[in-house]
Amino acid sequence: MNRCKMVVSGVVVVAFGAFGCTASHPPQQLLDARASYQHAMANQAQDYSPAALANAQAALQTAEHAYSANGDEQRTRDLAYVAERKADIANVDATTGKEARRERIAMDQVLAWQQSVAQSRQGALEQARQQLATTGQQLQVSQAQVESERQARLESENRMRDALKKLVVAYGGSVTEQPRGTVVTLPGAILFASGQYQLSTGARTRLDGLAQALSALKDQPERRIIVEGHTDSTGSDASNMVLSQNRAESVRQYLISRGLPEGQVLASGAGSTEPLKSDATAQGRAANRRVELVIEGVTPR
Amino acid sequence: MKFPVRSANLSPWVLGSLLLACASTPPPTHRVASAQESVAAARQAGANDSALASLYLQSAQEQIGVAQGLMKKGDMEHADLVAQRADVDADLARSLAREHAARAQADQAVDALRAIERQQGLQNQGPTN
Repeated sequence: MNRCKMVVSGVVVVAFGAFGCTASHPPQQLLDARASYQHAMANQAQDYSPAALANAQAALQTAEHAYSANGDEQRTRDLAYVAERKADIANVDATTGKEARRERIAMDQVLAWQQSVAQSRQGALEQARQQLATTGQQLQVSQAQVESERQARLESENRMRDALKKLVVAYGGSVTEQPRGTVVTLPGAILFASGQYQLSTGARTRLDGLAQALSALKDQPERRIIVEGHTDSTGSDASNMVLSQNRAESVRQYLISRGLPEGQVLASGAGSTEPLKSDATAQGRAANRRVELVIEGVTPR
Repeated sequence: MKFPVRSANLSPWVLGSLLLACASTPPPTHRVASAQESVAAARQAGANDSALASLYLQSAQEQIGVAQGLMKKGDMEHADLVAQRADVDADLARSLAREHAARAQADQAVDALRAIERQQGLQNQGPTN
């Protein structure tokens, strides 16, 4: 369709009026109108712009009637011009419909892709949520296990302290919680003869019970057991220091022989430097002659 | 669409014109007004944004002027035909403007789709060393 030429020709025809033609030769405008109508039909105007095509058909019939009745006169050419434009409109509207369809098809695919992406993202998000939930559950299980182990350890330590108390109190000693740890105080008289550092026969039996109770700490090697020897102030400081060190070492060796780890048990002598009571009385001196087992890191009750 | 109305009015007019003389044709005031409305509708549809549509729009405006001139001269029959021509030119300008917009929108949608396809192609291809 040469639309530009048609527009110009239309204006020219209007400006210069009617030029007569013979009836045997249809005017060019009518030929153009027929061609435009066929063009619209070929462009599927009956499907995409049926109303406009019907208008074009009616206009073309009007022009054809005018030509049949009056031949090639100006009125026939004007009506053919109108018919051609209406056929052009039907043709253009059909193309518009096709373009709209092309847009719709593309947009449908774009939307489908966007939905697919959204679903994919949603799936990934859901998967991440599930993983987070699983991790949270695992963490709860871990925390429960840690708490369970902590409780078990606490109960074990409590049992150990209870056992130590029963034993030590029976021997006239004590179990106290101090900043340096749990301190088990054993009277020197139940372990050693006067001035001696070898364990007495009865001492071994008594220490067996202690070793049994302390064996609960074998799986916690970081917690040390420090055996401290103490004397009263009778005698020289140097001899008291040596005696207390030897007594502490005797106890340490016996506990090791009863199964406590060598590296977990230490020995030290304090001589008479850390008395519990005054050495002025026999009772006070007896209290100061002692062996203390300091168990580090036991949680106070 | 006003095409059916005008078409329905046209056939009786054509038949009538076979019988009546030109001088009996009434002034085509409504036809000219209709053409002017069609020009306004074409402008609103964006006819000035399309080169081809603006050409038909210009033709319509010129023919409205011609029709009004013929009416002043008393050539009502010819004025009516020219007004019809102006009307269909304006209608065609409007259709062309709509086609222009529809094509642009379709191109835009297809471009978006092509961009997605290229992106998918890159994703399927994966990173290259």
